[in-house]
Amino acid sequence: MTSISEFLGINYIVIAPTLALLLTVIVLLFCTITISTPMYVKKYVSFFGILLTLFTIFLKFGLFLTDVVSSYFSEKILLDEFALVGNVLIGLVLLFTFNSFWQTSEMIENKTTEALILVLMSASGFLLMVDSENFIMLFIGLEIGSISLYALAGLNRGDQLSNEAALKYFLLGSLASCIFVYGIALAYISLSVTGVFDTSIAISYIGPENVPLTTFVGLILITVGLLFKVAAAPFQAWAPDVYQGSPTGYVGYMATVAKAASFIVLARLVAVSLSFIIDQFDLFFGAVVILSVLAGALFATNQTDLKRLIAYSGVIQSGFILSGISSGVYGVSASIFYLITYIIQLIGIFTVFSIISGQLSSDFQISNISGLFKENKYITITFSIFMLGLAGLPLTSGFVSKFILITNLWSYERYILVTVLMLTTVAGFYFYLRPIWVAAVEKTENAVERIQVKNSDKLLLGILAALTIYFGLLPNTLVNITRWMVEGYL
Amino acid sequence: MTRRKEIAMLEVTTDWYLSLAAILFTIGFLGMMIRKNALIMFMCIELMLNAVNLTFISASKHFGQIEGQVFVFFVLVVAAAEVVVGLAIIVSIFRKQSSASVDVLNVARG
Repeated sequence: MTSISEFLGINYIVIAPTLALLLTVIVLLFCTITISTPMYVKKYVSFFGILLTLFTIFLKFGLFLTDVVSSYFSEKILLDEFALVGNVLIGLVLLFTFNSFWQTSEMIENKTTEALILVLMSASGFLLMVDSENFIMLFIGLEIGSISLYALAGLNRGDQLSNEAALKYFLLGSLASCIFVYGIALAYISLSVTGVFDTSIAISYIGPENVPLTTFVGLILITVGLLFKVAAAPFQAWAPDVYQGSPTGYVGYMATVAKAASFIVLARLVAVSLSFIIDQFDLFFGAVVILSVLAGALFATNQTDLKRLIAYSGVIQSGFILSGISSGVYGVSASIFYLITYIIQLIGIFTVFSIISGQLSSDFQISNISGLFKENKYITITFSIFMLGLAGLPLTSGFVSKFILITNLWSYERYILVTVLMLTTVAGFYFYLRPIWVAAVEKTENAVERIQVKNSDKLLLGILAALTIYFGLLPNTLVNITRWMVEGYL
Repeated sequence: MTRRKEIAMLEVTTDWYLSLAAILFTIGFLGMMIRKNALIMFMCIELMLNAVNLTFISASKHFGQIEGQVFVFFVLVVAAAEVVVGLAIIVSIFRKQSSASVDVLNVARG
């Protein structure tokens, strides 16, 4: 005899990370509105909330060991390998960016709590997004996450660039959401389904050759909505402006969390919903990949603003990750590997930027780091490791991830894609090495003075740089994890 | 007799609603692309979301399912949340620049 809550699949452990973050937000609100508390209490409350979230994610692993892949809340929430890896990624992004966004929030006067709440709420939304089986939950999670990020981009209201970034992010992000939700509507009207797995079942039921055009349009619109969030060309227009304008301390978080969640969802969509009709999407994905890497390389080449340079580099990396997602199950695992290593490097780079330029500043030119090596050896060395990782130099994780991705593409005989990606990698060395050249080699009159680096920052940079090197030398563990993720879809 | 027949021919099917929704969505999308005023662009977003709502409602009626109508509630809530954040951002810009046109957003470029 099953009880009603068992029948509906109500299990609070599955959404425990989201609930833990909501609890933290409520406690933070209480600390600010009801009783006024000193800053360090808020710091410990939010840090403890993040640790609690990580612990609840750990509990989900336990649930996964007993239940394997299953859905909860009457098929709204899904617990599978993608959800677990997505949860861990978002939890770790929160942990690793905590240092930056705490210091930034501390500097925004009278808005510390608002800033922290926006960060934690967006994380809870993205956690819900990677957990979702139903498109309704997917949309709600995406919107909770994105709307918080729009506000976060414009938090520094005195700064013209920050306002501009917020409005551009808001208008283009909302447009993407509209397109995304219209795609869901079209998939619903043509197949009468609203779920990730339902779509695949319905397509296999009517036969891949009988799929109506409306479904194709709907699924492409859903994909386009997600591609907007990861800034793949031709949907990349917002990324450079938002990266440049937002307070530097937040950009690391904003860039990584949205990318992590959207790519995990995209990977699951491709591996599950589109599995029977993926051949018809080859041209679409191929065009997006080639456009992304070419447009990114073209615009990144003569950038003088470092944050814009990293934004365009993000466009290229999105192209790389997409090329794996659209080529077979092992391609998906290679993409997830690429995504994880890329996120580590990105967090590291933005931590360095916020140390050098200050947390709240928006503009950050390449000339701002000239002669950095002279007085700040540690920062320059870690910064170089991250940049070389992005470029894909051997001995760093960037090389291994590119290598796995391209060998997989080669085995699928996608020679055009392989050629374009290889050429972009070679071209990429120019604009990735230029900041290192300016910082370490070039002679300059006004070198950057000695910067006081906090111990927490030093530790963080050390860990991230060590991970970049570690995954470059011994990638087996992470490769096995990403292989394990997709084993069920072989 | 012939008049009654004409009325019977003009039965409004689900396709009509779907076409109307598609037209509304296209109008909203084109408005986003063409207009320069942030408030008008904002209204275009609302129009697009309402076109989506119309699609969901008519699909829900067509299939006799409740899911589409539930979805409409969520879209409405999300639209309300977007209004709050979006208007706050637009007002913040307007107070600095006394213009809601996106043409003034030309500091970040390159």
